[in-house]
Amino acid sequence: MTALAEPCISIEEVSKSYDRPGRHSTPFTALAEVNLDIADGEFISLIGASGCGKTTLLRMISGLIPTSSGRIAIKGREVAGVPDRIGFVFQDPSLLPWRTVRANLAFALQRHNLSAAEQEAAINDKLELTNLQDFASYYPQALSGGMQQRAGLARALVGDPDVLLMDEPLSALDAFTRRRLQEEIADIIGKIGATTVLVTHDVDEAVFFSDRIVVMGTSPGSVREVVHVPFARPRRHADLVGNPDAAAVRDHVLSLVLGLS
Amino acid sequence: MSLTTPRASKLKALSPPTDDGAGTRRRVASRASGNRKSRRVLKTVGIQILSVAIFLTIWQIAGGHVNPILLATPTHVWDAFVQMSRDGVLWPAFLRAMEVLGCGFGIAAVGGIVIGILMGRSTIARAVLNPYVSFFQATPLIALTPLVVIWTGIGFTSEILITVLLALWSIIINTSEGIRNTPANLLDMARVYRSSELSIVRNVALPHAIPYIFAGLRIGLAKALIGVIIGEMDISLKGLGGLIQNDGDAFQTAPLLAAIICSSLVGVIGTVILELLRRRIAPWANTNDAHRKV
Repeated sequence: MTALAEPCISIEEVSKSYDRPGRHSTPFTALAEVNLDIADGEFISLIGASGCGKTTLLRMISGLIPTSSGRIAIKGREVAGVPDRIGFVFQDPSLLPWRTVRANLAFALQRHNLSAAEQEAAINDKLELTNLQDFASYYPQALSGGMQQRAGLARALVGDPDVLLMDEPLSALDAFTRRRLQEEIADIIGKIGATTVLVTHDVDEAVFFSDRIVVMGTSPGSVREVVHVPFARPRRHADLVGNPDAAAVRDHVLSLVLGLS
Repeated sequence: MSLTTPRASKLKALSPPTDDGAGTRRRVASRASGNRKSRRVLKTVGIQILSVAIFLTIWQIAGGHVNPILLATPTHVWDAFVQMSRDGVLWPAFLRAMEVLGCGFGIAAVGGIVIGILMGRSTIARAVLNPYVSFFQATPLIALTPLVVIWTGIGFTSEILITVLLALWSIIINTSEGIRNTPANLLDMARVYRSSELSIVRNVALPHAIPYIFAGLRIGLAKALIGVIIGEMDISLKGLGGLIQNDGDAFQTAPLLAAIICSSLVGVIGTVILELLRRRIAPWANTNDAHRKV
């Protein structure tokens, strides 16, 4: 890719403010003048203390909420409303309890105009990719938290998105399940090559996944620093443990998040 | 209102059905707890039967010492019941009440769910309709009976109208409440996958609202039955309400009570049908069926 190639996601001077209830006349600025270009296939993490606007930024990229000013474009097309070809993994798996895993995946394909056979193939493909093929006919309540979140990922991927957005997808899981799932997700994203934006509050997770970590600060929410993570992807936890370079990146990000530097 | 009990759903979340050994242990454990549970159910059912038997005995003894016009004994009521069945009075009246209830409640259910969905999804529809729904919900609607008769005359139509008027509002309120309570994360999810409004209602909001809707239907059914009996008592003097009114006027306490018991049978049958329907169309709301494969 050349330096002149158009970014997959471009974020220009994006701000978000909310009207304050009551007597306050000045609106509350949740996010101020964010600029960020994200290349095709890049993995970006947004990290920062709560209130830094990282989830707000993710929701603006997804088109779920509008920007107050500035411009977000995906593949050159300005985001106004939810664009097609994005996948979203929610913090809560947000599966429909009255639908089986397979039918939950089908829900994400309803605007894709696929024939029954094509839809079936797309679903089977992503169930296999997420190792859920044996649980296609289970209702979500019968699955563990980790498997529910894998189903959420399968649903996000079933429409072959260009852009994958993840909002703290693993924060509700225990430490062991989280690490195992991190490796699985890294492998899956490595296979499909989607441009990914992850919101997380876990520095280790950000270092494990990202090409670049966007560290955000509060009041108002803004980008404090963008940190490069110079390792090939997908990674293994075993490779990062005891790696002094990884430890240096981790310490740097952590000190930024904690406001020590 | 939650779809499953928190404890049961937590257990399920902790134990994914991956390990056969654990699965077997769980099944054995659940069979043992099933035995304990059925014994407990047996015990409570036994106590209930005993309670009713004691009540009937006291009633029988007390009734023997009171003027039969004031209180007929259970045996008198039973005799009246048998006599009215033989005379072909009771069961046609019972069927007539079922018919009015079926028509009136059916109209109220369909109308109430449709209006409730509109009010749950559209803030404008909600703003327009809310004053009327609140007003009618707060009004003792049987006071409208004379007005309904003035409008529609004496007959089936006016009785059905009364039934609909009584049942409608609880169904509307519960439906719109359930629709409005659809979790925000599920609505976000539907928007991310660019669902149409129709698809959001059909696949997200309506299934979520089903337990609320059935709660509304149960309340609506009880109110509809009041409408049926009031209609028959005040308007046509036919059916069970007619029997109740005529026997009351004639101080015939035993047939009066037989007709009343028969009208509660109408309500019980309606409630059972509703519950069977709920289990059929919303199996995910049954804890025990959560592991069911399709």
